Amino acid sequence: MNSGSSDRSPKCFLNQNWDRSVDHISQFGSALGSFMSPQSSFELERGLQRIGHLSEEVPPQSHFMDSSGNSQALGGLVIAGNLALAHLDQFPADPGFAERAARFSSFDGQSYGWFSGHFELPGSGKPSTAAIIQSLTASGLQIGHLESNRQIPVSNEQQLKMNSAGPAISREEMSLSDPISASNGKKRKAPSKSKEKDAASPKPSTDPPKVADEEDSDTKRCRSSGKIHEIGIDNVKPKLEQNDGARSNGNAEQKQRKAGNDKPSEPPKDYIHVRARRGQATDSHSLAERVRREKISQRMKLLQDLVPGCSKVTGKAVMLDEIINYVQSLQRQVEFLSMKLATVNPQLDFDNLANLRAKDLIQIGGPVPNSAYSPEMSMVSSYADVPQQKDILHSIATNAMDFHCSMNMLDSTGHQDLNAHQACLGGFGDSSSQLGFFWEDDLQNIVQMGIGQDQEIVASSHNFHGGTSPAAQMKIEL
Amino acid sequence: NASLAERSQRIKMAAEMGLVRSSRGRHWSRALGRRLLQREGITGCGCKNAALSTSSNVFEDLGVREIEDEAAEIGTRVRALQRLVPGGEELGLERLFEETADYIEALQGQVSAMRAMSCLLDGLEREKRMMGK
Repeated sequence: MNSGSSDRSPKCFLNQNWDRSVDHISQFGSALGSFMSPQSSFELERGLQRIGHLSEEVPPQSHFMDSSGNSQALGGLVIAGNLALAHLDQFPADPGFAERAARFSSFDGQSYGWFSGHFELPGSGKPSTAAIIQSLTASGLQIGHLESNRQIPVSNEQQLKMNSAGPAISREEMSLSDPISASNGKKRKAPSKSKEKDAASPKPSTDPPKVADEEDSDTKRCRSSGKIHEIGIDNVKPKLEQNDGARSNGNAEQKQRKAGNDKPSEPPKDYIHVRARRGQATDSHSLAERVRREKISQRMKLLQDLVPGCSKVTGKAVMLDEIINYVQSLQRQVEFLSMKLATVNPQLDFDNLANLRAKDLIQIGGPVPNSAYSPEMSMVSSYADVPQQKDILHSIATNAMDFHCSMNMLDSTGHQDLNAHQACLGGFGDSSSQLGFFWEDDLQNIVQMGIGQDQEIVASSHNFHGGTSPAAQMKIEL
Repeated sequence: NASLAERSQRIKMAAEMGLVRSSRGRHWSRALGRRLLQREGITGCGCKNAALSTSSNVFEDLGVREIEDEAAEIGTRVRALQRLVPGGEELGLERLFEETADYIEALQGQVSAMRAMSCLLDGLEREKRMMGK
């Protein structure tokens, strides 16, 4: 990317930082490229190459990795983002894409806010393009953020990766627990009222601590992922009789809040206070086990929802059977579909699989919850009248990421892969310019559909099946 | 032109890479990424995550205190599931279910994407042939 045309920029960390962020942009750009038509994606590629050159101009003679160096790299990244934006003018304001864009570069929530405040978007008021730029800058910020923690000038990317593993792991743990806690939000146990205090504690007092409790248990979940929480059960036994009366109050209260979970627990600080059930062992082990089993049954319920046809099934063994069968069938489908793709298009091939670097696949950045797929899916399914269009829109949406490795125009190993790429793209109907143009137009129409213009559906269905490209269609401006 | 088998193999690998990339940070995604890199012959960076805690007793976790057979049945199934989900063998039951849920979602997305791709390509091929005539 930094074609060695000038050696003004010193070989130092700043370059590495920039390399990585530009590489990030390139991946993103190529993802966009597969989204858009082949021609405009070439435009984008050229624009991104210019960004690569820009990196050498922006930072003046700074040599060392410090916060100022980072901000310069980020400043360059901002400019790069603007450049990229110039090529993205024709980009449809697809709300789903904003999510995907955000998802693609692992997000650092706080810096995002700062950057959005300081950003001037040239001429485009679309929220999605804002998100694209922000995600670009956020990824740069993330890199900068990671590095400024270390304060060690690194000389190769290997070290860069190693260093970034540390803080990223903790972030990953954090975010891993988030989807879980989100699903557990409803099942949040109400704080036990009369545990430490008298039985007559008022109801409203439980609400504020409840909010704090959620955060507490979130952090606690992070710290002790997989391990049993420390359970402090102070004065359970003597108070067991006293609590009976209070417990019935507590039960009534809980039923108001969530589905009858009859084991409230309040996690202040480091303890989970678990109220013992009547007639059950109260030692820490069995209570810990019970907490664990609750979690496991929660997860099983989640799986039950995912696997089709599992809701009526009772019994753990049978359900496990179903889950296993389903996973196996999905894997088999992937295999079958890859064979089908190979037959349907004789030119489709991925030559550059070996070019992927280790860091691409084992990256320990912030996790990307799959729930981000659902906005796309719901958007797509609302236009499900013409199944073929839904398929195409969905394919565009999700394949931007899935297949972008093959479309990686800015592969750092050079341009020898470009022919392979073109052959691959040829398979997408670009061999005759007219056909390619036709494809573009329909893409544009179909994507427009995603924004909510219902009247286009009929028009584009005709276009797709009819095989003509009437002048009335919008053409992608280059 | 490469043979059909080779190409479909590569397409499948690309699909798995897509899976990995779209679900970064997940345990199964990292395990799958490692597996793919092994196949490619690229050495990993060696900075694997610390091994997560392994739950020893599956039966306890499920709360099954009853018949031995039932517990054994569940045990074999859980082990089968562990083998299916990439990276599942090191996971305890609770984490295993978590990862399975995420893995299933990712697979579902992947399958529908590939299905749509093949549909799209198929349609384009047909159009190409028609235009050719």
